[in-house]
Amino acid sequence: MAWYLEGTYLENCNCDVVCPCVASAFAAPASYDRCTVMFAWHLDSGEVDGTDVSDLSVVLVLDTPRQMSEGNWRVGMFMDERANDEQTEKLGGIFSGQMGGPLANVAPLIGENLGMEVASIEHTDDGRRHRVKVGDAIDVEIEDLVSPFDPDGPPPKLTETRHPTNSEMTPSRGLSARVRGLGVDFSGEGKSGLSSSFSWSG
Amino acid sequence: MLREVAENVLRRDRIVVLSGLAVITTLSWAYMSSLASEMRNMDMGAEMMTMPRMQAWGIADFGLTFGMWAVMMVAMMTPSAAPMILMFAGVNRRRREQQVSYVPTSVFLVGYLVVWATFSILATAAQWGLHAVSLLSPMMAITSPVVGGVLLLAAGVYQWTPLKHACLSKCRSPLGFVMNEWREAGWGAFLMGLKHGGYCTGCCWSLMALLLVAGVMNLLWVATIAGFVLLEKVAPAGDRLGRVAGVVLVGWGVWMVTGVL
Repeated sequence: MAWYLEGTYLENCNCDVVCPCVASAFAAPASYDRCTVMFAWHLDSGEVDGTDVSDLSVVLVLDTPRQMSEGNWRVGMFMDERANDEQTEKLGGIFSGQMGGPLANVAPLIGENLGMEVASIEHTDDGRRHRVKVGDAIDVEIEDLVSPFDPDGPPPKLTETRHPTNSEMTPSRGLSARVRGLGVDFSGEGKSGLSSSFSWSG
Repeated sequence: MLREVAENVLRRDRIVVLSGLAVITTLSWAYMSSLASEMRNMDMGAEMMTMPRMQAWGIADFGLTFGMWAVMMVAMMTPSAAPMILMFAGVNRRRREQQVSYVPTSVFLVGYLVVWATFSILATAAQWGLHAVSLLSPMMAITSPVVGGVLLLAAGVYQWTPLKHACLSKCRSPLGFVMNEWREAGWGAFLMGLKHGGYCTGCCWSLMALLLVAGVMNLLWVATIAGFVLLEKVAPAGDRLGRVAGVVLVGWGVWMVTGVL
């Protein structure tokens, strides 16, 4: 079993800007009683056991205790409707942590599987604003936090975050941000967003 | 309903691991206290008693001193490592439930303690060196205020270094450790223990060295340093607390050194 995935990532949660978990390298608890969060990956390129999975997307929604290290996470998955059966099976394996890679380390923290839903997943990105739409369930747009003196310059980054997707993350804020699907329901408007590129293998 | 059952099991699991750690810690403290009181009694018998031992160390002295340091490190560090050990145990319990291979928590703990045992060898060697140049009192405290002051100063400065910060931030985040540094199987668990122990030693070695200033078996200091190390790791403002302590230590060191001049 050999695979690699490369692409772009964005997330939006119900924490205040900036998400205290990520800013503290996962020492501090979330802002509110529960952590509700959406993770969205778009694969620019990728191959799993000889199967090409380029140009597909996977989105996870999570509902976890305030201190994520306690485990008992509730996790649901949205799979790109353009993926065929083989691609669905292979990506499903990776994103549920059954095929090694960064997500395998957190799989034991999952307490409840909320299931998988096939949906259209549409990413748009202008370099500053990152947006993902998932069927009728999710419509999230986040915007990078920038210097007021240099709004067009490269946005400041969080480094050494220990985030499984990429240790370097660009912090942002939710613009319009609504997640309601697979039993996870929250508004990330005005709340913490993060984006990055990623490169995984297993 | 299912969730309640799962949480009850989790709670019971935690209690088992925590009880184990509490027993290890209590035994270490008990042994250390009895050693300390023995030493005090020896001290009462005037310096003649200890004088011959002040001459030179044999293998037995090295062994005894190492044993003392090792037990002391177990007593001091096990409580601060508890959050990480609990997290490791929790992950493996779930893996067992999900019928994925799992590792007993003790393997991780052994790896962790091997690092502190190694540190204890170095501490013993340092004590040996200080002893050889007659810089240690019978209570194993550094007799020269200049050497003691410089140690305090160095420990204070270290609190502000990037290395200390890097190690502490890793020690403070069991989830970050599990997400980024998980290794499979028993050997992997042992290596994870070593690595976590490495971060911890990177955080605390200079604070432990201060035991040589106060007297190695000075139980009040042992407890104070252990308590501080725990706060630094688990308190929300632990890293700031560490920096404040750094300033205090530098001030104290300067005061000790200039007091002599």
